Amino acid sequence: MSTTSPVKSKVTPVIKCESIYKIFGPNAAKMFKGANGNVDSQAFQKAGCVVGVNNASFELFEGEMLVVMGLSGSGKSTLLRCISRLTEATSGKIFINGKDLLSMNNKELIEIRRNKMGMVFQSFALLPHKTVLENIAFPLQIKGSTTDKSISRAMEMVGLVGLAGRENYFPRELSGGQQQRVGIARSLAVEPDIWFLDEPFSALDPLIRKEMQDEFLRLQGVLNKTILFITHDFDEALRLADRIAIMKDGIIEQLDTPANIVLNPATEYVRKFTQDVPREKVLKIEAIMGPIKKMDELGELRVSKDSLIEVVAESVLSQADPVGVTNSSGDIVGSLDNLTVIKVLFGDKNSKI
Amino acid sequence: MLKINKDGIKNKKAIQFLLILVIFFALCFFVEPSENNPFWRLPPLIAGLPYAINDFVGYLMYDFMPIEIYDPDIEEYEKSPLVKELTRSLSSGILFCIQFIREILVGGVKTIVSFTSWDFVRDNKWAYWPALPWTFVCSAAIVLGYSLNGLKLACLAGVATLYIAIFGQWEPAMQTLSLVLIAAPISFAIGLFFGVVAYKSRTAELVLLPLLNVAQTMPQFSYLVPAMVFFGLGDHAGAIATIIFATPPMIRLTLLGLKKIPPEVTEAGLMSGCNDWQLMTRVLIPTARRDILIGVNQVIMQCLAMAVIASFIGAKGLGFNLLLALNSLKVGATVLISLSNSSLRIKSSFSDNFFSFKVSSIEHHSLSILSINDLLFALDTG
Repeated sequence: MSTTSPVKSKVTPVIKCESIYKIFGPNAAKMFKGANGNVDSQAFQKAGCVVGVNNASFELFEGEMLVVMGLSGSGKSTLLRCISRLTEATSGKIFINGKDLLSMNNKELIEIRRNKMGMVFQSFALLPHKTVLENIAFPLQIKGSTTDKSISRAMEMVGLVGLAGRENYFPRELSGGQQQRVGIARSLAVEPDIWFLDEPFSALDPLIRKEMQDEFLRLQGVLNKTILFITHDFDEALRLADRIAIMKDGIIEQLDTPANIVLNPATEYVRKFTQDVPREKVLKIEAIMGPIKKMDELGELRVSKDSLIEVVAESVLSQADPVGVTNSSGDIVGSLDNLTVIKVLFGDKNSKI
Repeated sequence: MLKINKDGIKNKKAIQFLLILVIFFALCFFVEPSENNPFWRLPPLIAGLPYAINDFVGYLMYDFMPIEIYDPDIEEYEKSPLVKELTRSLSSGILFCIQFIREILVGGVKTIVSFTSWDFVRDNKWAYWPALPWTFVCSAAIVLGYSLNGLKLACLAGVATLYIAIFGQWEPAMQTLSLVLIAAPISFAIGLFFGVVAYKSRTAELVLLPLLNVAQTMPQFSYLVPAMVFFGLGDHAGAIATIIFATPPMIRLTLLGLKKIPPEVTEAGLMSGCNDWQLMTRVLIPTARRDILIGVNQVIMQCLAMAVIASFIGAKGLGFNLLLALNSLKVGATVLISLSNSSLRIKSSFSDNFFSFKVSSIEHHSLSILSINDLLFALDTG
């Protein structure tokens, strides 16, 4: 399991977690001390404690999106709440931009939340007595901005999430998708560095959900925030993530890029999710290309190593000769033949490529 | 397997029931009916407790910790017990507030006297606070009704005020109103405060809930005597009894409303960077406003109900007249006064809507139901 992004390991991570444990129950701390860092959720359950998060460690770098995927009760929301310190972790260390989050006092915590963090909730959590505009301006006003400033910033946000013209509606007058747009706008109003999203699209209809995911990707393209995204939907995770962490019973089963998770599921549990995933929709050419061949063996066509298989499959299959795979500067870095693509498209899902 | 289990449980219940019956009849047959048999009559072991309480309160009010107090009338220092002085100064504070509102509504000189002197008022004929004319109060009620919920409420308010005016209950109605206008906001503030404290601290909640249970099941009359003993006779004692009686539902509904808030709303407030005060005043209380408003409604209803009963310990107003009418069996007057109280109640219920954007249907219902209730209650006492 790789916990560091290979490229940026020299930079200070925006979020760094070191073996976080969160155990609920009357004598959780005592139990944890007794366990000596070897937490077995079955044993804890017998003693009346529930293990929420079990030894979670990872690093998250600037502009990166980590999607934490797990079924309900897997501890993903608890992990998020530990990192935003809405609940106190039982043990472990969390660093935000190198600063120890858990040792901060109340004042520093409020300061970091006012300026660095934004959070979107599954049930939207809008204030029912405030209009769309007032809801979005709320974190700014709490921070102490003047009314003029916060209103003009809130108007900007209204435009950004595409709610122009509805700024004086009350939340109850909006549809679920629109309410979540307000939630997103509110969380972005203070221009946070870190963006927490707790199952933001789970309460929405499938069509609206798809639309909101597209919208979300568009926003992320513009803003490039560091994101911790929680979901129970594996497809959603594949669609959005730079890296995915799959959680089960509080343990991170695997943390890797979508392609690696689909290609090499670390455990049986992860395999259950990946086996039905159409691989051409997840994998890039890079993941299946063969070694570089001599120029005269390759056909005319060139494909980029970063494009999805699904996108280029048809044109590759229509070629008789293997095609060349290029990197971003146009150099040939590998080759791809028909047979490999056919295997990916129609072959046994569980076989190695 | 399941069936046998079920039967087992059923049989068990039957056996338990049979056992209870057996014990019951055994006691019936074997306990000898004699006053000396402790199984037949338990002797009143702590029948002396009420006297002990009486003595204790007497000691507290008249002998405990005397302090030196300056008396301006005889221009000398006097010894007076601490508790009595404290309760009496609280009384006079509340009495002044009631007096002030009352004189705005029905006119008078007492407020002016408390800033100057009786001599000043006697010498200056102009120093008299004029009463508000009924036309003003009536039109104010109509305007308020209209601004809050349109024409219907405006009509209701107008008719209710007019009713009070033409049936000759204007002055007592305004006196009752003045008492309620002081008691209700104080009840609201105390109730909100304790509701928030109970929400914040589990210990406070555990202490408060049984107290609330007791307070809400106690008969209304039982508040009168302690209020009278500690605070003396008059409007202030009535107001204090009213406040004590009207606060518990406010505490309960505040707590209920705060507890019903989804945790995500609290978290959203925290993630927006709220400190404790901002979280409470700008996120939690506004989100719980619906329940808190029902609490306000309850406070007003309870205040009006208690303000009538408070006439027993000297509170002026509709209750006092009702008491007189009841004592002399004047059925007509009783009905009219009760109706006046109802219309006053309808008017006062508007104040709920000050805080609310839209009048919820709940408020409408409770408004009508409770007015009818009040009428029935008044007739019952007759």
